[in-house]
Amino acid sequence: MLRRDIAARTNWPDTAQEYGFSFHTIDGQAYWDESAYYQFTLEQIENDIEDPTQELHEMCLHVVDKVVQSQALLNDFCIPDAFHEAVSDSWQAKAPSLYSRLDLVYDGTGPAKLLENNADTPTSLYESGFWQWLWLEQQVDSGALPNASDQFNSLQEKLIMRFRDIANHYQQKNMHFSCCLDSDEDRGTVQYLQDCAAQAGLSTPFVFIDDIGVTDTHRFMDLDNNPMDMAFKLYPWEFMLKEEFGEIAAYSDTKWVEPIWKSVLSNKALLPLLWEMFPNHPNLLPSYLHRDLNKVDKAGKWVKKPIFSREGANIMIIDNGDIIAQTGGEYGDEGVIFQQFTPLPKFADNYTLIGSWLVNDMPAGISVREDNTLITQDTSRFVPHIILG
Amino acid sequence: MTKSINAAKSATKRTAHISLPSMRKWFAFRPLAVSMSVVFLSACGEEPEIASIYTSVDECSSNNPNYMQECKVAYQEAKDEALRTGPKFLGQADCEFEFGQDNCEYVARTEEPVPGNTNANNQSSSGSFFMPLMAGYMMGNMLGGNSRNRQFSQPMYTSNSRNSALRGRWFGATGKDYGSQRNRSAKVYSSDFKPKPTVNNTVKRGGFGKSVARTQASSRSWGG
Repeated sequence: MLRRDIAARTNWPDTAQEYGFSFHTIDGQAYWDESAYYQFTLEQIENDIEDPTQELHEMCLHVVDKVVQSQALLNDFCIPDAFHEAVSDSWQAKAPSLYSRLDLVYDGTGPAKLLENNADTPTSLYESGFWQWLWLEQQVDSGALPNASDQFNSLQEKLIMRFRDIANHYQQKNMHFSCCLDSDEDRGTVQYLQDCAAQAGLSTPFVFIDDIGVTDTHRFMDLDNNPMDMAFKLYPWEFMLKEEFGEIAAYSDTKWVEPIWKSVLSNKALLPLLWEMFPNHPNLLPSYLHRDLNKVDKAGKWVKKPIFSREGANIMIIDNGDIIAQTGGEYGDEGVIFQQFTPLPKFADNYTLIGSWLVNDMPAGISVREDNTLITQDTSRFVPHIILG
Repeated sequence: MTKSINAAKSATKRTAHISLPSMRKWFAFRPLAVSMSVVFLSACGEEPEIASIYTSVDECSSNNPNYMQECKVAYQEAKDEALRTGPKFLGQADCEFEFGQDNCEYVARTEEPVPGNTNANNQSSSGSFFMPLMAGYMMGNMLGGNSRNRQFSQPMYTSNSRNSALRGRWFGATGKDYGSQRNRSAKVYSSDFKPKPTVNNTVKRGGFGKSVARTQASSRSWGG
């Protein structure tokens, strides 16, 4: 695993515009950074990332299977009582999932460590599945990278196949797509998923989450009053459950992607349960629920994370009882977990985090993000990667 | 649910092929989602009308000798509408991928912004582009004698590209399919030309979306 400098493609901003990649620069800061790339060997990718991703995912599903059968555990996951049955039903019915991203600490050697599982609303999908793919094609075509360069990135073809499977499963030809107003990044991510679904033969109407309507008979409708029989939402279940339509959504006939059991898989309370069920697994970090605080070695270095935190918000790093780093945010009302601190590897002046994608149950590629601080936040930069050697 | 850890690995680790024209977004042309709306509209019990499609002013005039002037006006309106709303491409190849060989024209935009002109409507874009030739134009029921309905016209396109799902079809600027090119009339719904009503008393809205802090200035994702 090496970080190498490379000249950016001269026309890349034009290419970005042509392909609708509108959020490569956000709030004046570079987000897409092609002044460098990461180089992995095939062995690193397959043995250290792909196989552990598969195994971690299967372990996570074992945890979900245990949690959905226990009211007490669902309470630990801060899932309100009213939704326990819906969560359990959707899991027992094997409601199909679309995708997830495991965040891994990996420096090229030794076992990758799981930081968290973004299984409900992962973003940076377009950059990973399409844009870094295009970067590699063009850099190989121009001779800037050797012909033998490959990339761990089968996201797009797997997403298209998965949309086809989900449509067949539900016998639907129409999938609505939804996200919040006011985020170019989310809209871009959803547009990418619409493109993939369209290539799988689906029609893909869009509606903002704020515009979704519900009838007296508890049917969800888009802004044109067309029923939403199958809907992808880039909007987390834990938000939906708190909101006015949450209970209707959980028990409605609308087939949601992701399904509601993903509220368990994407929950940070998963991490302590993993450690409990698979203690000392090489890809896991010791983690504890807040109620097991007595098991936390106070002399060590720990990360305190809210169960529902996203994009690195409300994270606290504690060393021997002292707070050494902290991020702000609005999460944390519901509960926290403690996870043993493990430093992100440093390449040049950057802390580097690997996002390892799954489409349904299949590892499907990686994204590499860099930040200037120990806690990867939404200020981080996306840097492409290759496989060579 | 589970798969073998030692499943066979593929020869390369990346997506083998991506159809780049289908990923372009600048003035991207997406007929698939639009054509579905035909199904929904017809399900709403709205009465269709018959609109005519003409390939030239002469054709329109000879079919409607008393409406020569209207034929001319409708043609010009459709031409203007085509320039404003029609699909546009940066490159000829991309346009021809969707619309077929010799079916695209180069449009040079030489207008430069007038110094000191503060008119917000002033299109200062000087970008040139390729767009499909207007293959015909559709005229509404102005000839049917119903004076309550405003006349309408809209540009019609067709494609001879093997890559297009709309090959040999008449379709509008948004990609809406109006049937085989062999036909010269099409069923249309009044809502094709008006914005659809967005409020329905039986539907309650706004029950999602409140958890996202509206005050944040950033357009970043709150996702993960």
